[in-house]
Amino acid sequence: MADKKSIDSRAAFEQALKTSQNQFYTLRLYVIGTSPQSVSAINNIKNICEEHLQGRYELEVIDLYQQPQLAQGQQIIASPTLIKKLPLPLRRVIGDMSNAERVLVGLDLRPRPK
Amino acid sequence: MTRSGRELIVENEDLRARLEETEETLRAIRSGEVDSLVIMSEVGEQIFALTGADQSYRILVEDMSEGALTVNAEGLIIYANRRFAEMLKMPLEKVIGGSIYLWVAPDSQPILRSLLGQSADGKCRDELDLVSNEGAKVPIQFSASYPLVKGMEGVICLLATDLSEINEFKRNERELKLAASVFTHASEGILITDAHGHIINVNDAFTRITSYSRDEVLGRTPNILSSGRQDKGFFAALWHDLTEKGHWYGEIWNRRKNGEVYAEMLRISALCDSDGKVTEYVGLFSDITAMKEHEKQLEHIAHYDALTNLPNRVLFADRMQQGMLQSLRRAQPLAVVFLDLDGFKAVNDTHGHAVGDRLLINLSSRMKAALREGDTFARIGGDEFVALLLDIGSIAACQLTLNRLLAAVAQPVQIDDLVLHVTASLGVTVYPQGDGIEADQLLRQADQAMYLAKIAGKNRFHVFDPTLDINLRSYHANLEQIRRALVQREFLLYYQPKVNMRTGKIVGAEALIRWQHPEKGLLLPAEFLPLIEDHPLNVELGEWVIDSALTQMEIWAAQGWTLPVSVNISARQLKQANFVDRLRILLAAHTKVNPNDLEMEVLETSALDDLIRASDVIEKCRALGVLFALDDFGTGYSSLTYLKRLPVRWLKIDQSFVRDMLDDPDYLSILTGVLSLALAFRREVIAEGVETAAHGAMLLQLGCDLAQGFGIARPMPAGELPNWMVNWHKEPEWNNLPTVVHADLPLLFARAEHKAWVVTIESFLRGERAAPMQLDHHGCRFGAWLDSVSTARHAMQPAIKAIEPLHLQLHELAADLCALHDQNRNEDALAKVGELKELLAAMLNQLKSLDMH
Repeated sequence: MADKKSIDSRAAFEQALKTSQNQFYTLRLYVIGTSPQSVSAINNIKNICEEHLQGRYELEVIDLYQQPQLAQGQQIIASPTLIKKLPLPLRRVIGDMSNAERVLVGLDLRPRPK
Repeated sequence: MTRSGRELIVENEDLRARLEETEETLRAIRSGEVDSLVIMSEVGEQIFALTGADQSYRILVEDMSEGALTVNAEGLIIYANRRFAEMLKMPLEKVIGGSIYLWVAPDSQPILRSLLGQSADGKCRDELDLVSNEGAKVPIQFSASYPLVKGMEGVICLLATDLSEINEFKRNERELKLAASVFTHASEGILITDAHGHIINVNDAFTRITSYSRDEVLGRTPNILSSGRQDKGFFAALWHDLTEKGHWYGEIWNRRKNGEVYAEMLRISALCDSDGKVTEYVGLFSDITAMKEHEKQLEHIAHYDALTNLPNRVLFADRMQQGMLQSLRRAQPLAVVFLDLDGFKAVNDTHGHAVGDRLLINLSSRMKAALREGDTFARIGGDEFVALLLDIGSIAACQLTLNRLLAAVAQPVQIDDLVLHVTASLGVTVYPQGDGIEADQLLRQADQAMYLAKIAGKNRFHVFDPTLDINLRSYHANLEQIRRALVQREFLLYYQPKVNMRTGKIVGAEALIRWQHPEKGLLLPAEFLPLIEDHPLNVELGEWVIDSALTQMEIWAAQGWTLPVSVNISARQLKQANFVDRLRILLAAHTKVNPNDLEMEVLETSALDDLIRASDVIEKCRALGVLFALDDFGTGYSSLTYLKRLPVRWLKIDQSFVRDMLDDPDYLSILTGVLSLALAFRREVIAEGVETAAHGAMLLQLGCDLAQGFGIARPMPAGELPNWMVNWHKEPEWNNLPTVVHADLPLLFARAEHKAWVVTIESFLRGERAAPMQLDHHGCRFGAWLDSVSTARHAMQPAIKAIEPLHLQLHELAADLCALHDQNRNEDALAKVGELKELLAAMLNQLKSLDMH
């Protein structure tokens, strides 16, 4: 009885973890300088995060001009590119983040369209 | 090797993801959302800018030393360069995308808010504090710009300059500002010239002091200020110092634009370049004209008396030294006069210091005016002055000046409603006197001579006689001696009995102070009391007298003697506010003495000085049982009204009247007058100065029974008094002497009148007076009396019968002698003077035997 109960609890916890409401997001935005696209991308992602992930996200903005080494491991990066490092799976969203719906899908905050 | 189906599925998904990504990238590029592509490779990254990115501009921004960032209106950091991240001590990636407000100190946030809220049409700049990741404050200046580039709407570019790095610059800038401010606002005048002495700058104070404006002096040399008071040597020395030491400091007289000469304290410094070559001269100066004036005032204060503006002791000493040298050079003696005011202290005490000061000022100018132009007159103490009289010729010649001084002081001074009257005592000494005498010795000699003038009765001068070794110390030394004598109990009381000549009873004794001086022997009060007349010691000594008398009375009481004792009270003591209280205390300390037995003698002159106050004190003493006598009565000028109001019991007739009454009818008249006054005011009378039995007899006949004098007893030590009292008996001559009735007074006058008359005749004959006293035998009072009594009660006495012819002969002979004189037979007249005297003696002899009952 006892074993069964503990298994039930773990399952419930894991289920809870999966719910997007509780997950912590680690995001990285690659930009180059102060191009209008970069400016717009930073503005947009900030707004989206504040709206949907308030208090549970970390956003790194990387200027590839100044810190190209931080792009290592990537062969080609378009600027701006947002990478969702956590929670897995890794996802990337390219562009100035002006289409909020697409960004939300990219962040797995909206179901992907079939 | 074949891949499993599972592997293929994974590979497919990966490829699909890549495709999706690529499609997504292409879509973003197509829609203009992507600005660049970065392609990574082993040798480095390649950046392909797609739109809008200006690479050369970027490189500039990335590498610049100021922090640069762009933010949106909410403060979101869209872009920041590495330098800005360094300022915050944060990795750059943690900075971009965060809020700028996270890094701004709380009190700076409003500044930033204001910067970010600016309209997009200008630049704005402000200073604020960032807070680094390590918590340190970083002062920065933000320059904000609001680019109007398409696609950057709402973006604000900020340029952050680290102020701590420019602090050094700012400090320098502040110092420069400060220096400029000091230059402009300094109260010292500043003048800068180039190496050739041409003025290149001056400050406001320069203009204020010299009255030259900046424009008027630029390009000119400081010579425009020259007053011409300094000679060439002065400037040569100045330039020498400036060249050798690089600076010069000193006082210099310059001239203002309006021509006025002023004194300045000037410091000139040479400024050199790195090679040591003079580039500028800087002159810093202050106007010390006021200081010089002040200096002069101080000098005046140091040498002049503030109250009277006369030279003080310091300046006088200086003038004396000069005077003494001059005296030797010119072989002309000089005189030093020491002057002390008599009775000044009383003025101060009675009317206050303000009045005393005004009196001093008034007298000072008078005394100064009494001297000659070249003489020095100085004030060296409260009421002490000294004069230096140059080129006096002789002491006799300067007597005129001394008398002028005395007269200047003795004239009354009117101050408001008061008329004050003081005198001066002068001591004079002459220089040179033998060798080696110093200025201070001269002053001491003059001081000593002044003291002798005081003792001799004041309002006079006394000339110091260097040939007499009088060994008298100065006034102050004597004061000290008196003070010491009190402590050492060198004072003592002598007692002079007072008797009733009619009854033969001893009625009391007067206590008289003596000083048993260790060197000079027994001193009479006249030798020391004048010294302290104006001094508080006087009161102290007065109290000692009362206390000693009371103590003596207790001793006598213990021996079975009860004797009223009178003590002399000085005016000063009487005026003490606490006199009555002090007396009460002294009486309480001697309970065995009946206060009725203590009497006070006060001088007529002093009691009347402040009548109301004296009356009050005398009245209060009377309530204690102590009665007063008015001493030396007849010598003052008291009005009868005053006498009536003064509640004294006794009048003591001054001894001068008594002493001479037998020979001088004037004194006898005064005496009879005083006696009738006393009778009228119901005061008792005591005569002083009874030296012979005849004095006593005359007084008894005049109706004055109480007396004292050498003829009765000299003052004696207390111990001798009881013995004297046992042995004394009144003169037999005084027995049964009636008081003559008023009508018979001429009889009493006869003696004095005729003696005096004969004396005048003799001096007339000797040519010593112009005319004798006119007296014919019926005109004289005695003759008139004889005429009237011939039918009256004395007519039957044999003495009268004998006197009448003698009187007639006396007058006839006198008339003869005067006639001889008129006939130029003076020798014959003088030969008969002896005869005249014999007749007088015979008549006086008969007078004695006249029975006045």
